[in-house]
Amino acid sequence: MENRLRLFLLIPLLVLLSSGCALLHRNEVPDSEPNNAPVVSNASSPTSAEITEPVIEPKVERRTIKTPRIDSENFELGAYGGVISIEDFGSHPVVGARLAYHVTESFFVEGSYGQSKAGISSAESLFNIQVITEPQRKYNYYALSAGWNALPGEVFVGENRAYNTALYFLIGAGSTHFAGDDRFTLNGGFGCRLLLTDWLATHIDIRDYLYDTDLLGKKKVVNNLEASLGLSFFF
Amino acid sequence: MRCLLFLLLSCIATSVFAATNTLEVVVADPFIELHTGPGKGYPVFFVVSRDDRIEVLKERTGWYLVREHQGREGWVTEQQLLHTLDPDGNVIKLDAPTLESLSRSRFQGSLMLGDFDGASLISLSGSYGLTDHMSVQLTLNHALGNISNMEMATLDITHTLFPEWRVSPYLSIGTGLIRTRPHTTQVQEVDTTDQMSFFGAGVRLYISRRFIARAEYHNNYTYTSRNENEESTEWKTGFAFFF
Repeated sequence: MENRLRLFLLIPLLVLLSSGCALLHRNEVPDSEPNNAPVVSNASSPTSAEITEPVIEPKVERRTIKTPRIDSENFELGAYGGVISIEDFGSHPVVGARLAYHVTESFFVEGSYGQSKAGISSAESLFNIQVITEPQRKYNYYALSAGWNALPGEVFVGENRAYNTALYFLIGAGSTHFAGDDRFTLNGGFGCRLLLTDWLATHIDIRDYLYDTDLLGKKKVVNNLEASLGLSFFF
Repeated sequence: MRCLLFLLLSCIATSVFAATNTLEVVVADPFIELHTGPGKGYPVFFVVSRDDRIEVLKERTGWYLVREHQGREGWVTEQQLLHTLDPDGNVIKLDAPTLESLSRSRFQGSLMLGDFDGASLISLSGSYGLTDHMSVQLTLNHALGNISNMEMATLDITHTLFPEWRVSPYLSIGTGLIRTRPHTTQVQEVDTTDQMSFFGAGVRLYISRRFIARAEYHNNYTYTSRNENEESTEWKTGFAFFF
């Protein structure tokens, strides 16, 4: 324990020392020119005017390199609505929001949040009991997922219109809050993105959310399937 | 909350609808190809030849939306746009992210999954670089276990040992708060909030563009109100992005 405490005290010292040194020297100009360089006075160089006048004027076209600011649109924010089947508690409407960051043309990461409300389970209606209270029927989740645009393509509407599409697969993890508890939740699914313009997209998603529960007395894995339609903006 | 939502929506509206400064360039290669979408799979539908002017409208994942003088719009690869000049004949330098830009970048966000003393851990963090080596990081952790769940918010200082290397180890030290919530199906216990501190070590691997893989280990100390402090281990791995 004592050794660990020493280690605990030594690590910050090491981090602070090494980064502190970098902080102290970050704004220093490299000492490439000696400070004690001799000062040349005008009196000692009477022919300096002749020297500064070049014999041949070089005509070199200097090309400057510009870094332009171009609008980047790699983030996508959207809302969705659909139906979620909450195992044992029926299918109910779900609404949610998602934020995605497109890393490459093929991969993206996505964070989503959705909420719904569970109904009455079969056990509750059969035996006229209440397994969970009314406030505990609130169902919400968040999911952090990685996505792969597996099948990019186009759909054609009539002769003159074509829209870009992508069929993508998602896998991720998150948490589901239901019956007063948070449960670690794995999610997976697929969807189709159809771009109406270069910044507006519609989505159709099928997603499965899996988590362990012992709510009805026996521990089991719950599969909650969700189907949704959504709209999103690239920005 | 409504104010925040309004602010967010106005930011997006500004970003989406604002008349951004477009860039006009001249094609210097024999030709450049216009794709129907921002991806290699989308077909080439038009070719712009040398000395023609094109307008660069926006960028997405290394692809650029351009408009040629007759109004056709298509997507061009970064490699092809590098062979264009501005109307004065100057070389265009695109701000393509590389390993070098990683060491110069200031903001980084990461998303990791792992284990916190047997509980599944979800971790989201954002960091701001003070120097090439040192950054401050805010992390939100959610650990979900069989007996209880934990929510943590920590602030740490991270020191990247070799920021210019593709693979670099880093050390971190930080402090924060941890809230423990026992499951409702367990023996009823009250939620507790305690202070914690940790030191950690990890490895960062630059993959491509703005993409980084990270893996790290933490040794946590929770200062409880009981006689003994709690010591716990945490490991996590995931992805990070820099801006």
